[in-house]
Amino acid sequence: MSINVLKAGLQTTIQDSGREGFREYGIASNGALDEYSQRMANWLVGKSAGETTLEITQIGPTLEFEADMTIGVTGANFEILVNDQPQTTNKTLQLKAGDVVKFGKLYSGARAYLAFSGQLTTDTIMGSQSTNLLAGFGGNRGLALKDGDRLNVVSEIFNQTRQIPEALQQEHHHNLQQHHLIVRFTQGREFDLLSDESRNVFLQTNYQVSSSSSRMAVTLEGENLALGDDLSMTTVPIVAGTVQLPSHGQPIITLADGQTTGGYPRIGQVISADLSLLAQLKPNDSVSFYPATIAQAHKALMQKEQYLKTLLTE
Amino acid sequence: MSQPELFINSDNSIIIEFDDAISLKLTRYILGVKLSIEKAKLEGFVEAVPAYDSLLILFDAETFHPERHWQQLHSIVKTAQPIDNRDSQRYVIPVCYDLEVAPDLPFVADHAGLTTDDVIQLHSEQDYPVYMLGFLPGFLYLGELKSQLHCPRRSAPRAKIEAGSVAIGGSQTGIYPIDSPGGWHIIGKTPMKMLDVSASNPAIAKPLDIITFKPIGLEEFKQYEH
Repeated sequence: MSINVLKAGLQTTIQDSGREGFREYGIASNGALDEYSQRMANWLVGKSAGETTLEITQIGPTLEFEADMTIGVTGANFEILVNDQPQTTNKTLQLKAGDVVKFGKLYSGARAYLAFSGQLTTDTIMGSQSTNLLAGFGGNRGLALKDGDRLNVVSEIFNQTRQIPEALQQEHHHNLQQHHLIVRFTQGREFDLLSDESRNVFLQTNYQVSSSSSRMAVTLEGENLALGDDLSMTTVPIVAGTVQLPSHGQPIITLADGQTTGGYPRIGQVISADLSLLAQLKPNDSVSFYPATIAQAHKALMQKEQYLKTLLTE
Repeated sequence: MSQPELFINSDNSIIIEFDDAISLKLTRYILGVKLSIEKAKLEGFVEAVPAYDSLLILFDAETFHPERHWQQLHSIVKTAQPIDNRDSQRYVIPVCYDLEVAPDLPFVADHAGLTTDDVIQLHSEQDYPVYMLGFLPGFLYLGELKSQLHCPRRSAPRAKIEAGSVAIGGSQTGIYPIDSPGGWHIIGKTPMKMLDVSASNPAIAKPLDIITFKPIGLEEFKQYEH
C-alpha cells in the first residue's frame, strides 16, 4: 500500500534519527531536527524514538492513506483535518483506507512530525532512511516530497490510543508560542577571543532568525560581533549546535544537515538538551543565548530524558 | 611531533588539537591517533573526525563523561603512533579544461600572467595529497597548489557550481562532488562521480591518498558522460 502525496507542503522530508560514522567523509548526520517531538510522535503509534517519520515544515502536506493506518502528529502546532474533520492533535489517530489527512493552519512552531504505524520500504543508505537534501540521497530518493509522490509502506495497525500528557503538551506549546526562544550554550573554543564588548552583546542580543535558515543552519541577524584580534583559523570539525562567527559578524548555528567542518571561530555550542528547540524557529522569530557549563548541559539532558521516560510510558 | 592538547568541545565531544604545522607527517599522526581511539571502543563513542590539525571525538551525549573520557583519550593519545602510507592509493582524475566547461580558466590565466595552456600544464603536472574531507559530502581537501596558480576567490560567489567542477580558490584546488554554491574559479570539469552513496567509503579517496589530474578533450569528456 502507499501513502499518496496529494500536496507536498513547503518541505516535507523523510527523517529518522540520522546516520552516524560518515562525518569523516563530509556527510552530516541528517535526521529529525526536533528529536523530542519525533520521539513523541513515534510513541503515539507504538514505535521507538528515532524511527522513520515525516518532518513537516511550516506549510504541511495533504496525504491520502490507501490502507488502514495509525498515525501520530506532534511538534509544531498545526490544524489537522481528516476528511475535512478537525482532529485533536498530540493523540493517536486511527485512519481508514482512503482517509485524507490535511495539515491546515500553523498555529505555532515550525516543524511537525508525522509518525505512522507501518514500515516505509525506502532504501536505507549509510544506516539511515533520513533524507540528505544536500547530496540528494536517502528517504524519498534524496528529495523533499513532491505533489503526486507515492510512499510505499508495509501496512500495520497500532491498536492503542495514546495521548501526549497535558503537562508535556503545555510546556511544549508555551515554548512555541513565544516566538522567542532562549537556548543554553557552552563556550566554544574561540569564545575567549570575542572582544569584551562582543561577549556582552552576544549574551544580551535577541537575534532575529533570518529567512535563509534551513536544515543546514539557523542564520541570525543582530548586532555585529567582533573578535578582539584577527585570527587565522584552519578548517576544523564542527557538529550540530556549533555557533560560528563568520567575518560579517552575525552568528550561525549548525544543524543536523550542516557542514561537517568549518573555518569560522566557534564562539559557542548549543547544549544537546536545547538542540530540538532550534527546529521550531521560523524566520522573524528570535533567539537569545544563555550560558551553561558542561555539567549543567549534561544535567539538563538527563532531566529531560527522565521527564520523558516518566511521562511516555507504555 | 609535539604532544597534542585535549579540550572539552561540547556536551558530547572532545577535540584534540595538534600544535605542529600542517604536513602529511602530521596527518599520518592524526590518523594514527584516530585509529587507536576507534580500536579502544570507549563507552558512548560515536565517531572520530580528522581535520588538518585537529581531531574531533564525538560521543553519545547521554553517556558522555567529560573527565573520564578526557582521561581515557589522553592516555590513548600518549602512546598512539602515526599510521604508515601503505594503504595510500593514487587516483587519476580525468579533467576537461575546455572553455565550454571551464568558464574561469581565462581569468585565472590572466591573473597569473600565463596562457591557459600554462595553467592546464601547471595544474595537471602536480601530485595532490588528500589531507582531509569536509565542507561538502565527499569534498577532498588537497595539498597546496603551485604558487603561480593562487587566485583570490570570486567577489560574487556563484549560486550553483555543478558537480564535477574543478576549481581554484586562494591557494587551494578542489573538485565539487555535488552541485553547490561557491566562490571558487571553475577551471575544468571531471566526468567522474566523486560520491558513491552506496559504498562504505562514499568519497572517491581518503586522507593520504594522492590525486592527479589528467587533461582530456571535450569529445572524451562528453563520451564519459554517457
